[in-house]
Amino acid sequence: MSHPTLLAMPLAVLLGAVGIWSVNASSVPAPAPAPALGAHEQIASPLPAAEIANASHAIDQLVKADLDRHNLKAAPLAGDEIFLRRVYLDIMGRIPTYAEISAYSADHSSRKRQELVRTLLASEGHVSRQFDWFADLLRAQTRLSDRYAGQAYLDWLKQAIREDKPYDKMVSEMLRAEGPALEPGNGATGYYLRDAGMPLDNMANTVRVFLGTQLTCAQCHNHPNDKWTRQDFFAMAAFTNGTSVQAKLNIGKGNMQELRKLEKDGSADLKNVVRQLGQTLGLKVQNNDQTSIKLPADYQYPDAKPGAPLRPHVMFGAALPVPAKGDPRDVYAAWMTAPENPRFTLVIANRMWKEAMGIGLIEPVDHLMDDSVASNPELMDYLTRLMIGVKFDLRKFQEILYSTETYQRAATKEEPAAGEPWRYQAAVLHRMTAEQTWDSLLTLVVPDLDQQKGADAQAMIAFYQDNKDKGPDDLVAMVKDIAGFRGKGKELQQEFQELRAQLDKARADKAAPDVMKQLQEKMRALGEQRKGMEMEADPYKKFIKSIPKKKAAEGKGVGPLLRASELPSPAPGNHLLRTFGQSDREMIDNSTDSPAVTQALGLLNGFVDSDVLGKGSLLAEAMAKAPGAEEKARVLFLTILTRQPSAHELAVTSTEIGASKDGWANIAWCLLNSHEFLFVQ
Amino acid sequence: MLNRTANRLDELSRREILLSGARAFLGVSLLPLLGGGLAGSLAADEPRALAAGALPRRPTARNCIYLYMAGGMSHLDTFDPKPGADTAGPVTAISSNATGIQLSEYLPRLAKNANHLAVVRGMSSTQGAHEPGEYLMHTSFAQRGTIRHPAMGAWLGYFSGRTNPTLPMNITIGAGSRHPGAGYLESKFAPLPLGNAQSGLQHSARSPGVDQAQFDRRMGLVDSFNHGFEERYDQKQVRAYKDLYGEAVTLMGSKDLAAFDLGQEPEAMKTAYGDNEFGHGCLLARRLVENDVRFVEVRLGGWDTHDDNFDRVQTRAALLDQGLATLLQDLSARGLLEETLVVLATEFGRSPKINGNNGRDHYPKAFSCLLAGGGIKGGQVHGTTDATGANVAEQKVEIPDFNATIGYALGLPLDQVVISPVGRPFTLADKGKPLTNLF
Repeated sequence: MSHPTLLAMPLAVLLGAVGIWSVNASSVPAPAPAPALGAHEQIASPLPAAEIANASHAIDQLVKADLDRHNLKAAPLAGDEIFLRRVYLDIMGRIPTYAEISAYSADHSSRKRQELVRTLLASEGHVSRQFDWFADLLRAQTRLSDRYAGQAYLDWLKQAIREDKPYDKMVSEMLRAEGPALEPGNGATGYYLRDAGMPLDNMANTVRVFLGTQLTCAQCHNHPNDKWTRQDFFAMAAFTNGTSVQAKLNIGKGNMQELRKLEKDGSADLKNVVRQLGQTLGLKVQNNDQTSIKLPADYQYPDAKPGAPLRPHVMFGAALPVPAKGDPRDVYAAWMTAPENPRFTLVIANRMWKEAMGIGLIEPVDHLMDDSVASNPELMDYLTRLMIGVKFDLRKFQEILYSTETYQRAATKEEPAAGEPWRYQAAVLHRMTAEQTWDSLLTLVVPDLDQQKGADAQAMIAFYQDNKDKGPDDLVAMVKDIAGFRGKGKELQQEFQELRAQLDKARADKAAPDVMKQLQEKMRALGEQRKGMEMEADPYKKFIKSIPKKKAAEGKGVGPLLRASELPSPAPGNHLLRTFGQSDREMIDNSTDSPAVTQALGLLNGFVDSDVLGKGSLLAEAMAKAPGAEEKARVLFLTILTRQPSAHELAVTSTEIGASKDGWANIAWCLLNSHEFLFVQ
Repeated sequence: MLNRTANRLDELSRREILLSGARAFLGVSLLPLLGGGLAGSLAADEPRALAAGALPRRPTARNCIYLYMAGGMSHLDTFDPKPGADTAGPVTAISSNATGIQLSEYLPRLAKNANHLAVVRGMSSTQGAHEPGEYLMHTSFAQRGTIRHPAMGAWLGYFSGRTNPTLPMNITIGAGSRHPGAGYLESKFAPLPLGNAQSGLQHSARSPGVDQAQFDRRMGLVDSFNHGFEERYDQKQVRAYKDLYGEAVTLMGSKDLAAFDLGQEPEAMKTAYGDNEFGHGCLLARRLVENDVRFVEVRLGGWDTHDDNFDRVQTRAALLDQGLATLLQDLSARGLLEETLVVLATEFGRSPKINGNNGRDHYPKAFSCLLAGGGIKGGQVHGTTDATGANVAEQKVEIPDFNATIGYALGLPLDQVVISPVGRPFTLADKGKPLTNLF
């Protein structure tokens, strides 16, 4: 049986395949025909090399046509050293290690670049890199809405990337998420937990992230410079109006009243326990199948009255029949993620292109209007169809992009002029992201970096599973138990403080040493008792305490030596990651590469000296092993800058290295503080 | 997401897209979100047309010390005592050195300095939970999932720029990571966060074991090594990093850095401010404004007194009383109080009703804040609450009004419309009206 490959299929054929959009497929602008691609049976997984090559070539041709049109010449391909560093940073999110560089140098295959791209995309390092990208886009945090544990959501995102879940499916799972947040595999509920209590904002975010469209203005008034009306906004919000976040412990009113009474009588901390258990055992996204929303009380346009009920209605495309019963999000998610949704596919294709090439074909990527034009419309159309052709398999899509010659070009010496469309004649010099900077420094410190894992939600999920079926009486007993233990813990704490006061006094009075020793002994015993009690008996504390299960290596004053993706999201405010502009994950795509003086201070006087050059780091070990000053210099250039030193550099640096014990550290420090380290060519 | 050179393109194209529509819609000129903000663009030889009336008025304060009482400070037990009322609990009121102003007995030192204070008793907020309350107090806007608004320190940097070219102009001490920071403004306006006052400026001293000679030797190597790269890529972003390293080295060697070092204060001074984190924070704030750091926020937590309210408020108030009273005296003695606006803010007050745990619960309907120095007339009270402190009786002050007053003192253009990067128009204190009668 022979039929054309999906990549070569006319869009109309693809469109016909899906019900929702086939109603009015003619409203979708038909893109220009793409260059013909070779016929293959089907898209296999992984994509056959020839298919990748064809698609990459087609992209290169479209770029070239555009360059010809503008009388521009493409830069030559970057050399292996530059390419290797760039592709590791882009796909793995870190620089390559000495061993990885050696392996690549030893490979003499003519297809070694393409093979490397494929290998890297399937690696655990890529999960970290792509997670950072999604976390910035989705504002995914370790604590969602400042109160709910978000780890299950973060785990879900990582797993989706790891198993290469198609993007449309990923989005659909988030938009349709419901049920207990800690049910295994149900981490997509985090999408709604992130904006708990703010369903309107959640809709504005959804439209911006997945449709690249700004609807926020229309939340309060008709959009001043786009076509959206306030009614459009509320008609969209109607789809998720029945969706809410619950975090209640299901113990019944009577029990609750009894607990409140107890709380008032005694000093037991029942309320907090109820809240904490509610936020774990009771945490869920609930949908009540509501299919309408009320216009706000300050609705100000003549087409409807304030407070009038409004049925869900999609903001563009043919009207969707929304069933009177059932979860309206089903049709909404199907509409959103349908390949023919002209904005959904285009936006992710453009975002992926931007991630690889540095500049989107349409900029900004999330401010689409009807008259938005790509800098290279044919290429944009092709990429959109390619995204459909690979069925939203981002890894395949990325493999095609990273295999293009366009991606592999040498960097331009000139800075692209602000506001001018970029034609992709060369790569664009750019500063590493915060995550790339931190993760790259760690490759010089920690072995087997990509496999080092931080906290996950396993313990919390186990706690949920152990207790989720408890009835109200058991739950009440559990609340009392935990509160009781905490009360006891407080008493012990008080006792402990009294002992300390006694000890202080004994010290001041210059009491006999054995008196002090006795007091210290008592304090130690109390401390042990309290710790043991919490671990043994407070099931809530027990699961909190057991995260992370395995303790990661700690740096000197910087916390765990783990990749950005394995640290809390976002990292603490004074972390090197934040200094270098990691997003606070409060706003969509909020990371920054702006310079700040604290960045220089951080590299000059901080982590580089304390940990990268410190005893026990991978780099220090490599230096101890490398024989002679010249070899040390070579290893330093390769591990830090991914290239061999020039003859002149070799002469200068090996002299410095040979001159003193600190010589190699001076050179390493200097390379790590150089522009060449921080900027990706 | 990727932030490359492209993001600058991104910002620009975004702005251009918005420009025409925004002009037509708002009838205002756009402020440059690129480059140096308003301050930067005025400093450059590139005059920009500003809408008439948008030019900043003459400020009454150059700098601002903003003390934030996190958790919701009980107004009844501090600045708005109600002696004799059922709701007063055991707290009595004491007279102050300003006619007609009584404070809680927990604030004996401040009572002796009330001549500096404008007590704003008619505060009222719309947010009764900590995070949104704190956000509203810092930004004048309700917290939203789609945008982050700038806090006052960022606005000051954006409109007015820094005075000391070496030190950061906006600093928070112990503020935590939830601080709204620069909001949608460029990240360079974000405050530099210090974990606590004693730790000083992170990484501003050479690493242990690296002496000046070795440091200089290393820097020399870096400079010569960078030379080739700078020639190959003669780009603004590369030059920015070259400048940055220059600035960092200057800062490391600067005597201004001593501003961060509390060790240079006599012990007696530390004792006067209080040998605790808040006291240290107030002392550091004074050192910083003395060195032309323009906005310093110091945080004192622990005001969320749902149980055991009176003991706990008394403990907190003692820290506040000592720190703030000393700060006012110290600033005044140094001639700095006239040009330094001191603000005391909190997210909400506490309920007049005393709950079953002898505590007070969240109460946004009526509470108190303070202003002092920086052109504010001392020894006055603005607004009153009723007999139990439950309702604002006169001169209600919404949070945007309070923030507009701070902006007014600092000479910031309250009416100037600024377009956020996604094209939404804002003013710095929403629609707040400054309390000009306080000046």
